Amino acid sequence: MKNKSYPNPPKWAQRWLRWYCPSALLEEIEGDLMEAFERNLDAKGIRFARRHYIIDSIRFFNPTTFEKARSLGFRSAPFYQNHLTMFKNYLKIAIRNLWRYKENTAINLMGLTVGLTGFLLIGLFVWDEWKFDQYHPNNDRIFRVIADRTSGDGESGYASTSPAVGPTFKQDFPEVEQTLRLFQIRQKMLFDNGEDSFLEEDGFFAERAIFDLFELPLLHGDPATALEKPNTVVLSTSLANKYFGEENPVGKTMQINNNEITVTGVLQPLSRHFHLKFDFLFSFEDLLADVSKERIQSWVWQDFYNYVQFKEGTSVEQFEAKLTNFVEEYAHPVTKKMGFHYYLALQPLTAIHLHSVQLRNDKIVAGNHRYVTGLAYVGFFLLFIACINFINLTTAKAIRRFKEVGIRKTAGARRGQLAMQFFSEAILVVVIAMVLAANLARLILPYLNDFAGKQISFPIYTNISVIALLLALCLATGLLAGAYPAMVLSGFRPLQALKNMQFRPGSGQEWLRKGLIVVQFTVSTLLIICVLIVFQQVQFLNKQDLGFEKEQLIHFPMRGSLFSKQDVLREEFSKVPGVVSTTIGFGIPGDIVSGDNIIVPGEERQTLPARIFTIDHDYIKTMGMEVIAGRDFNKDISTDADEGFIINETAVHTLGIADTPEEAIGKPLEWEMWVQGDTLKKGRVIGVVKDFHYNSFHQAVQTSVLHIFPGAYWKVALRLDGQNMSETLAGVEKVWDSFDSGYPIDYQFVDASFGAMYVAEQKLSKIFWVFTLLAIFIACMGAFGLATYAAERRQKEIGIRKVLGASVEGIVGLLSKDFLQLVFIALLIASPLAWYFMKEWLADFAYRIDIQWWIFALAGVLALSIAFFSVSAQSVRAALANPVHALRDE
Amino acid sequence: MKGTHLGEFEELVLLIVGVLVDQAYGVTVAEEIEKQTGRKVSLSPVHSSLYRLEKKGFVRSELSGSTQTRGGRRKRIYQITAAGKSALDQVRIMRNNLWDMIH
Repeated sequence: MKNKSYPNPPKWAQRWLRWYCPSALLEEIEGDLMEAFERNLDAKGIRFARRHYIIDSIRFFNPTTFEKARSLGFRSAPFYQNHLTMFKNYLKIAIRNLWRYKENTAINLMGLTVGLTGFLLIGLFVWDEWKFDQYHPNNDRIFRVIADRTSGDGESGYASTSPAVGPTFKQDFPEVEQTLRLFQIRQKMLFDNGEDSFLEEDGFFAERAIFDLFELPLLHGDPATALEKPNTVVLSTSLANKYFGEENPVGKTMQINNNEITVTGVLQPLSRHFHLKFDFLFSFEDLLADVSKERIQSWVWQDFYNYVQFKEGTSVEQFEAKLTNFVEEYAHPVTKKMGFHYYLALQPLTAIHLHSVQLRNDKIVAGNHRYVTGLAYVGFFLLFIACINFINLTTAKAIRRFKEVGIRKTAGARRGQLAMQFFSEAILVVVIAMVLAANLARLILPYLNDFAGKQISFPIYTNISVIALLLALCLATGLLAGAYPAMVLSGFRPLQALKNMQFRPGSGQEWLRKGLIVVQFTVSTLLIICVLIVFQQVQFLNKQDLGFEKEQLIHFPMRGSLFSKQDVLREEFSKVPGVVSTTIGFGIPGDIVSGDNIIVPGEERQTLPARIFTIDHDYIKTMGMEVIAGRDFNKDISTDADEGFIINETAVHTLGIADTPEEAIGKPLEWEMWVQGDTLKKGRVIGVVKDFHYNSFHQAVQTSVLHIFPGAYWKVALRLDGQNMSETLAGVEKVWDSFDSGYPIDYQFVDASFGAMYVAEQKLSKIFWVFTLLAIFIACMGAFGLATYAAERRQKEIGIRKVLGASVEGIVGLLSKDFLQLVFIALLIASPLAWYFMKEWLADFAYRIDIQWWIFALAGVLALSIAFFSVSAQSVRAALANPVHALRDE
Repeated sequence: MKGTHLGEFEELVLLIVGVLVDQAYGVTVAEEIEKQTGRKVSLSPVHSSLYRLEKKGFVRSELSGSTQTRGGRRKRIYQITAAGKSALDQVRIMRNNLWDMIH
C-alpha cells in the first residue's frame, strides 16, 4: 500500500541493492536501510535521507556481504550465475596460455613494460613541469609584465621592463590590485656574520608585495613588515643556517658588502615549483636610496621584473588593449629618441616557467614548453607503438586459439562473452606489465631526477590517487591494446574454425597490420633522424670557432679598493708565474656584455645599437682575437685611448661605414659616455677584429665596438699558460689577497661559462638517444611479431616452395621483402616530418648546421638493417623448417 | 588465537549488542553507537562487524517477525553468545592488567 506523496528512497538505489544483494540478506539489509531512511527523513529531511540511502546501498556492496551470503548458502546475483565461474575459467585459460607460449608472452610483456615505463617517466616529468606556479592562491589573477622591444637589431621579447611600470600601473588603472617590482642582483655579495664571510649570489631587491603575490611563507619574521625598512634582508633557510645556525636570526645584524643589514625574516624552503629561485631578498628601499629619482622613473631602464595582480573579475584582454596607448603615451616619447621602442604584454604567472624561452634578460627557473610538449608526444607514441605490438602479436597468434573459440561457440558462448574473455586477457597482461613498469620507473626515477634536477616522487604503493591513476591507465591501455584482438578473435566462425582449421584474415586486417608497422617505423626513423641531427648540431657548437681562445682564460670582478689600483693590479698579476697576459675591462665573452648605442656621424647622423666593450691595451691580445684590418691599440700612440675605436666584422656592414674591413679604417664614430653625462667621445676606427662570440650560438653576433675607457672597467681577465694550473691559481689568489679588498677572489673560467650555455642542448641530445633506443626496441619487437605472423601464415606456401626446390636464402628474402617495403614507406613518411621538426629546432640557433641528405640515407640504412635483423630470425627459422611438418596434415 | 581477535570497532559493536537485549539489529546498533560515543557510523560497517562477529561465534542471530514499518521487511535480531561474553571479559581483564601496570 504505497502512498504516492510519501517520500521514497531513490528508485535506482533500491533496484541496485536488489540486484546485487543476496536474497538471504536482502530482507534485513533493505529493512534496515528503509528504517534508517525513515528516521533520517524525520530528523534531517528528505535530501539527507536519500543521500544516506545511496551511500549505504553502495557501501553494502562489499566482500563481507557476499561472504556472509555464502556462509548462509546463497549466491548473490552478479556472482551467482555463470559469471564468476566463467570469469575464473577465463583467468585460468589466460594464465595457461601465457605460460605455454612463453616467448610470445615475454615479447608482449617486454614491449608493454618498456612502453609503459617510458610513458610513466615522461608523464611524471611533464606533469612536474606543468605544476609550476599552480600553487599560488591567486595564480589566475597574477601576471608578469614583459616587453616586445623593437630596435635597430630587430624585434625581441624581454622579460624585464622599466621600474616605472609598477607604480604607474597602480596609479592609472583601478583594476590593478597590487604590483611588485624585483631587481636582480647581478654581483655576488659578501655576507659576513662577524666570524665567517662568503660570497653569495641569487638575490633580489624586492618590494614587500612579494609576500602577497606569491605563496612565500616565512619561517621566522613577519611578512607584513619584513622588507618595509631599508637595510633589511630576508634569508633563505640555508643561508640563515649557514650564518646563524639553528637559532632564529630575526633582529640580528650582519655585514653585507660592508653595510650593516638587519635580518628581518627567514624564508621557508622555496617550492620546487616556483619560477623564481633566490637565497636572499633585500628591501627595495635600499635600491631606491642608491638610485636617483629620475632613473627609477625611467622608461628606458629595462632591468626590472614587474608583476601585477588584478582585482577579481578583471578582463585581461581589455587591460592588454589599453596598454598600447599607455606605452605610447609614457614610454615612446623617451625611448624613440634612444633608437628603440617597446610594447608591454602580460604573461600569466603559470605560463612563466615554460613559455619564457624566447625572452631575453630573464632570470627564472626556465623550462621549455616545446621540449615538454615534444616529450609528451614521445610518451604517447611509445605507449601507442607498444599497444600496436600487442595487437599485432596477439592477432598473429590468434590461430592458436582457433579451436578454442570454435568449441566455446559451439557450446553456446556468445560473441560478447568471448570478446570479454580476450579483453580480460589483454587487461591481465597489461596489469602485469604495469606492475613491472611502475617498479622499473621507480628504480629509474632517481636518475631522471638527477638528470633533470628535479625531486619527483612516485608513491605507487601508498598514494591512493596514484594507484587509481595507474589502474585507469591500465584500463585505457588494455582497451587500446585489447579491443581489436578481442573483436577479431571473437569473430571466428565456429564451423570454419572446427572444419578445416584454416585462418583467413580479411584484407582489411592485413592493411591495418601493415599500416601499424609503417607507423612504428615512421616514429623510429623520425627519432633516428632527429637524434643524428641534434648530435651533429651539438658537435658543431662544440667545434665552432669562437673568434677568440676560450681555454685557459679566467676572469674575476674587481672589488672595493681595487678599482683605484688598476695599474699595480695589472703589473702584479702579470708577475705571477703561469700568467701569460692580463687585461682589465668590461665585456668578457661569456660574461655580461653591455648593450648600448654607437653614433655614426655624418650628414645623416645615426644612432645604432651596439655591444660596447670597454677594454685596455692588452685585451685583444689576452683574448686571442684576430685583427683582420688596421691595428690593435698601441700604448705608444697616445691618441688611441681617447680617439680609437676597434669594431668587429659585423659592425663594418651594420654601421654602413664601409664595404670591406680595410675601407672602414679611419671612419669617424661617436659614443655617448656613461659617466660624464652627455659628453661625446669622438674618434675613428683604427682596427677591425674578426667576429667573436660573446654569447651562445642561439644569438647572432651583433655590432660590437671596442674602445679604451677606464671609467667603466670592471673585470680582470688573465690568460694562463695552462701548465701547473693549481700553482698558477694559488699565485693569483695570493696577489688578490695582498690587495686586501675585504673580498675573497671569485674567478670563473671562460670555457666553463660557454659550456654552461649548451647544457639544455646536451641534455636534449641525451634524452633523444634514450627514447630513440626505446622506440627502436619496441619497433623491432613489432617487426619480430609481424614476421612471426607471416611465417606462420605462409607455412604451407614455404613448405611447397621448399619441396619444389627453393633455397633458404630465397625464402628468407621472400619473407623479408615485405617488411623492407614497409620500412621504406616509413622512411619516406618520416623524412619530411623530421626535416620539418629539425628545421624548427635549428631555427633557435643563429649558428647551425645545414640538414644534409646523407643523414636521411644513414637513418634509412639503420632502420632497414634493424628491421632486417629483427625479421630474419623468424624468416630463417621458417625457411629451415622441414616442409613435412607444414604439409603433412593437409 | 587467530580468527577470534576483537577489533576496536567490533568490540564496541559487541558491547552494544550486549546492552540492547533482544533489540539489537543494524539500525539500533548504529544509533546506540552514535548515542554512546558520538561517532557517526553508517549501516554497512555495522552489518559487516555483526557478520564477522557471528562468524567468530560471538553473536547469534535470527530473523524476527515482519513489521508494518521498514517496508514490511523483517529484522535480523542479534544476541550475544557465551563465547562473546567471555571474549569481552578477556579484553577487560587484559585492559585492567595493563592499567594496573601504569599506575
